[in-house]
Amino acid sequence: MNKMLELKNLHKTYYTKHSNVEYEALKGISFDALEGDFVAIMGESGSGKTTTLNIIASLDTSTSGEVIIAGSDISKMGNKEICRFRREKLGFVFQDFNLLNYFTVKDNIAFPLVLLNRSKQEIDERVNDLAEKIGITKLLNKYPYEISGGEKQRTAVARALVCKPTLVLADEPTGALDSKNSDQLMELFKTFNDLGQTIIMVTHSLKSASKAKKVLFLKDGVIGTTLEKNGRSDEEFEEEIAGLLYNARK
Amino acid sequence: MKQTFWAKIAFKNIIENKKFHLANLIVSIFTIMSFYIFTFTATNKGLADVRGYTGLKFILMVGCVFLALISFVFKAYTNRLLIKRRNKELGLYAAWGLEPKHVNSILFFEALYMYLAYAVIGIGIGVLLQKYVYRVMFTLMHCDIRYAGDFSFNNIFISLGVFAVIDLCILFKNMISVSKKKIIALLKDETAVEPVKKLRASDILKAVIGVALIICAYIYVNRVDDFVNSLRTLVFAVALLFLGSFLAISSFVVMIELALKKQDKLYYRNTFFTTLAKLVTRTRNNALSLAVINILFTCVIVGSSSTIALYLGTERQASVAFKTDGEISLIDENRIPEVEEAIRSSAADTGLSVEGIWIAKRYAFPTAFNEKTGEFSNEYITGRNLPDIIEMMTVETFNKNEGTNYTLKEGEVLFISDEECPVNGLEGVNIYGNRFKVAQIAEGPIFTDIDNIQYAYKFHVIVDNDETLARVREDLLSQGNTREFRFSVTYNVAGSKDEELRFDERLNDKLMHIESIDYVDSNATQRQTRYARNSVFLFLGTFISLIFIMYMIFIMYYKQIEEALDDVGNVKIMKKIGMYSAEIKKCIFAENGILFFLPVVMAFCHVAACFALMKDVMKLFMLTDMDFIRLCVVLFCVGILVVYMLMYYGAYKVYSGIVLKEDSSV
Ligand SMILES: Nc1ncnc2c1ncn2[C@@H]1O[C@H](COP(=O)(O)OP(=O)(O)O)[C@@H](O)[C@H]1O
Ligand SMILES: [Mg+2]
Repeated sequence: MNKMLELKNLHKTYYTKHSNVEYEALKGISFDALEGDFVAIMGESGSGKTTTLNIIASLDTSTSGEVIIAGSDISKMGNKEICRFRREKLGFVFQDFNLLNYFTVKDNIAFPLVLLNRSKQEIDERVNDLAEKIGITKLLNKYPYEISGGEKQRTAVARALVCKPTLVLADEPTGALDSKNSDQLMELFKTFNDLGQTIIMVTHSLKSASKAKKVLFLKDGVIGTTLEKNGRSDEEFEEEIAGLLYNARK
Repeated sequence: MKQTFWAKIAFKNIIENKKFHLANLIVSIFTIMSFYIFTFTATNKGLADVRGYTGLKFILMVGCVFLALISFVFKAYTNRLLIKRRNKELGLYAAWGLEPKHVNSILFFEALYMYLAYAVIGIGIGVLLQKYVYRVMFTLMHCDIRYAGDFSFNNIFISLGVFAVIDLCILFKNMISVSKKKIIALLKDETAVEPVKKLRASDILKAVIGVALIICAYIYVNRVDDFVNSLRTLVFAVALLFLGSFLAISSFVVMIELALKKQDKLYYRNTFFTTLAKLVTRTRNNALSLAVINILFTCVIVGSSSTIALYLGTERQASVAFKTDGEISLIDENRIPEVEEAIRSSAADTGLSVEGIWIAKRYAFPTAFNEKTGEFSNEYITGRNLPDIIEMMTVETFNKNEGTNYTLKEGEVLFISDEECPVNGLEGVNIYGNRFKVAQIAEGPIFTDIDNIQYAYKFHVIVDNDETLARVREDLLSQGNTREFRFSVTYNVAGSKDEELRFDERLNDKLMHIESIDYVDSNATQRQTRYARNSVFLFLGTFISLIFIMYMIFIMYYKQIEEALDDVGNVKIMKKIGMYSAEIKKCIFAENGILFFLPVVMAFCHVAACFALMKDVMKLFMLTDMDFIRLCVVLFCVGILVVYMLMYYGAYKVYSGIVLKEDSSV
């Protein structure tokens, strides 16, 4: 299978403006994800998960290292090219949904397509099709402040998928949801992954991570362990992850 | 706790919120400075020597009162904007356990500091500038500068007092709202901005009412023809316009925007998408401010361009006043030689040559003319609010004064109509029962005409000879009209404006000693009194317009910051989803542009539709050259548009600076 994403020796150092303190958030991250992969990234708070994801999504830049997505090295791209790439090839799901309040659910989902100058007809088809799959058809004409957290996150997922991205990135997508809504969201991710969508997801939840095909553990800016599911059931995989985390604590 | 503690907190608060307080301070400084300069000018002894002093003083006093009133309104309104933002901060104090009386202490000290700062600086600048402002005004007046350098504490006390009262009123209002609200509720006062989803029936009704009110105001302004005589109607029209504009913006414009949103082809296009979606809500939320700005703008355009037109048109007004250099009107025919002698000797004294002296016997009185039947009577069937004037004279007098050679047979008249009331095909006239055949019709104005708002139209009936004139008068006398003949002596002297002015002063001195003189007037006098009066108008108009514009900028600036702060989150999301900064800027440019220029475009409509009002006001000042007025208005509009565009660009920069501030967390 083709490699969808390659991270090579990624470093990130933050310089705080006021004091001269440097902080090395990433200390050489390398990993690959294949086409159709489902990778979960776990790790304690402050271990660099969001930073990693933001660099992949080119919302942030690395200090050194390479990010290669579907064969193109985004660390070598110009500003406009990156934006273009992000619009066409990436979908992002955020912990705090990041929906725009002045748009309806439908327009929120359509937003990336509008940015790509797609026709109204294509927009309608894509949005309705996705809404059907995700089960939010009834909500399309509502506004974000009128729907629940779970519904908001499903809307955000629809928005992330609407451009048929090569890669979907999700930063703690279940962080603001209760367990029922979390489960539903993970089912959704799994369904799309089964359809061939590559997903990289940061999560704190064992249950969510167990749905992935591969789990990376980040600690102090480096990848500690990597677990592969290898066709085991969710429960078995969850147990293995839990065991690892338990041992790490000791 | 001690009051000094709250005093310190208040001081810290002001420094921390300097972005808002500074704008407020600048506008307040300018306002109190203008007020002080107004009172100074009105009471300065130098003004007392200018012709028409009492009138000028009155105008300046009215200016002071007006300024105090608008300051109050503006301060109350901007306070409303400021306090909204501060509610959260006040709520925080409550969370720290402060009681309302402590919060009131803070509010009091804040108001005190602001007052002291702007009053001291404003009056200080006023005192420094008063001499120069005074000089500029007298130069505009074409008068010798008679600056009485005295400086009276009275004016300073009046200015301090007036603004202290204004500030106290506002402070009280704020204190009451603090104590009334459960202070903790202030914390939650951050009302989430709800987007406008779709039109409700009430919105459509409001939109219809708004547009209807504007149209009513337009019709009303164009129908009322003695506008200047009643301030009430003017206030009423402005109120209609304001209410109409507010409803139109908050509902009608929103309706249009929602309709545009329904246009899929238009709406689902890159920058249109966010722009339109945000505009709907922003328009609704800003409707009041936009309506205020719209009215301010209208006032500034009308006020400023009319005072500018008035001033620039002074020469024009003075020269249309009389066709000759001057006129003396008297009742006793036997005194005419004395008057003639006075003219000649004054000319000799000042070294000028007399070009001509004309004498006219005139018979004039107010009446009502029916242009369809040719009837003069006392019956106001014409629907005009003001009386017409009829003036009769013999054809000989007319020819002599106008340099024409009309001839009339017995029973015939030459009818000269008002240029604004043509009477084509009139065959005969009936002057209270005296019938004449109209031999010829001509159009005014003629040598006796002075524009004057006090009558509607002026008509001249030129009869064949003196006997006819005497006969008509006798007949009317028997009907109870006691108006007598007037003799007017008009003259032309050759000289420059300055020479004519000296001649005029000389002549006036001499005429004082002649009895039976009805009135004396001349272009030189007219020019002087008009320059004086128009300069005062220009002076007031400029200051008040500047204050309006400053408040406009202040409101806009304030709103920009407020909205930008609310928009930061949205822009972050837009960036994350992949919008380029350039695209976001384009959206902001379009949104702000529409919000900025909406009130201006509406104001231009208002001005165009209410031009009749300006025309009336101008006519009062004998400026009847409409093309000239129009030119002044258009040029002023272009000028202020340029200023406004710069302002818009500045506001756009402020806004995009706030929302696109490089933030490493994105
Ligand atoms: N903009 C920033 N400036 C300075 N330090 C940052 C910045 N963003 C993150 N960090 C630091 O980098 C480390 C990793 O952060 P992050 O990737 O957000 O962790 P997490 O795994 O919780 O998502 C943290 O210690 C954080 O304090
Ligand atoms: Mg994180």
